[in-house]
Amino acid sequence: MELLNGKDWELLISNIDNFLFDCDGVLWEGNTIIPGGVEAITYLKSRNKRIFFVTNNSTKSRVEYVKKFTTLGYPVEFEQIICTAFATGYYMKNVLNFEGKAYLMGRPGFKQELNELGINTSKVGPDLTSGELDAWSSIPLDPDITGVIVGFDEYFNYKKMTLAATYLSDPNCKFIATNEDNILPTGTKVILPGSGSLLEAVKFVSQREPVVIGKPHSPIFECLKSMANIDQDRTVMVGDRLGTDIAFGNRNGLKTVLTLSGVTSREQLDKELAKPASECKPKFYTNSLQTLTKEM
Amino acid sequence: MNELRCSSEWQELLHSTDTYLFDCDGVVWQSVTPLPGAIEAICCLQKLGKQIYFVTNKNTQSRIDTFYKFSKLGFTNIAIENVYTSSYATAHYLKHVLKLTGKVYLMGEAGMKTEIENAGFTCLDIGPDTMTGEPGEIENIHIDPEVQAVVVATDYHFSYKKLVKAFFYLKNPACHYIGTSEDRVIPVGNGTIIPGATGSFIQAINYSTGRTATVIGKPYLPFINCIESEFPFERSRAVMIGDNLNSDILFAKRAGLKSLLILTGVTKRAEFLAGYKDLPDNLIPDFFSDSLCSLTTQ
Repeated sequence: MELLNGKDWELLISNIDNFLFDCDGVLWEGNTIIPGGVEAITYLKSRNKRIFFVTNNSTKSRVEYVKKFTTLGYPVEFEQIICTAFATGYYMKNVLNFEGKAYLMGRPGFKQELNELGINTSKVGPDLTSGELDAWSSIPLDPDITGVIVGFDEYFNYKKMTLAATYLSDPNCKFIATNEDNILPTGTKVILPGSGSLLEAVKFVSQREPVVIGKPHSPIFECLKSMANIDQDRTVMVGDRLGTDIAFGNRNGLKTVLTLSGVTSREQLDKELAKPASECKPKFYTNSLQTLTKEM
Repeated sequence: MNELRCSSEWQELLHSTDTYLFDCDGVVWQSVTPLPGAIEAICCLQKLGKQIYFVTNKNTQSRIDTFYKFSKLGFTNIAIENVYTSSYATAHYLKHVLKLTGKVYLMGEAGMKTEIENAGFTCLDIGPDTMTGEPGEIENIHIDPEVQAVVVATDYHFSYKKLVKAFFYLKNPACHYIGTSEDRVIPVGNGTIIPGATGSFIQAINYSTGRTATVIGKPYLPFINCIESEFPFERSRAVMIGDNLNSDILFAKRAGLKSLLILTGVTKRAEFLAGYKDLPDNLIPDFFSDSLCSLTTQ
């Protein structure tokens, strides 16, 4: 069902206590606000709804996200942010009881979030290749590494991939990935390869399957539930991606709203809706969050 | 499946086979050392008047550099025409099959670049290309409108930035997408296997672009087509001799060649014999042998 204005949204709002929002493509694109987002969040707050931000983007810590939200004008509390950096640390701490050190491919914000949660990691940033292939057979390995984490890393390269795969040749070494998104919108017209593509490279070489933290998988949902007791029947996931946001909502028995303000086009939505069976079909869809505060 | 343990057991194969295609790493040499029996086996086949080709997925070296390795290692009477690398076969494909007219964005090493340039194409720069963290870096990436093909080969400087460039070029459906091989590991030095090779970069690019690379090297058929186009031969009277089930043996099955697995490389005897009955038919070789020594063993 299409949500065209505030009246269409009202049925949902009166039956929902918890609103889960994806960020990229819903609230902002890169560092540019998507119109209607701030008004929608502000309105829902005024209706005493509980709001959480559930994002697969692994590039920032929760502290960095609070800064971004604030800069863009969104009212937000630290506890509302469920990003994959946090969810990964939560999973490693509370589910894996992770000990030792993780070889991390990710941004500094990710490293910081993990370290603050008590997870020891390698350094991040550039690791420049040098030397001939024969020298690589004696690449220095860190004997303390007991896990490998693949997030978004713009310094990903052959050497890092070799190290990751070498660590993963020990079956006791844990393999964790933040998400499988194939592309990453930047906010300009530019779309980039996502961390899912880096993960494919590491999976191929290591011949191992990771535990994936982010949507549509369950670890990020378990992390959310640890922050708040939520009634799945009275919760909605609002996102722009069928295979992550909507599938996540459907797998966990939530209502789902697809916004067409991000990566999914109307054509792609129609194609999905026409399928006889799919976990990616949203219950509702809308052009953007602007419709939530729109008069009829 | 028959085991070849000595020269008498080779006779049936020798009588029915004119053309012998050899993989290199793990079959005739390991790094820079000839494997026992390899030089003698090649000599023996040459004396019998057999046609010999070396067919390697290695693409970091040019054909001529790989050819020089043979004499350096003590192999005799090998001509450059006997040596086929996936670097040469890829350049051949661009020229004769695609009939490419534009430039090539290559992720690869110097040997691959040499082959592409020898075929008459302009290659963009290779080597290190990393993010600098400068603002506007992505938006300022220069996309050369004359690039008509992206070629993915083994590139020790593979990086996210190169992945981004390939991704940008491949947005144009008219831009060809070629991979030299899908090898998952590179055998190196003292028998240690270094993970990390072309196959993984191709997976990354396939996944982000939604496109599939045309792969030239074993087990894909462009490689055999390349050899055949230069030296026609009877496939049913040819054998592929290799150490890797997923590249060499599968290649032989797909191309209609006989197949001989040599156990001096990535496939080990004990594991192979314990598990071969569970393999699909197209990975079970017609013959297997502990090493090329068997050809000259009484």
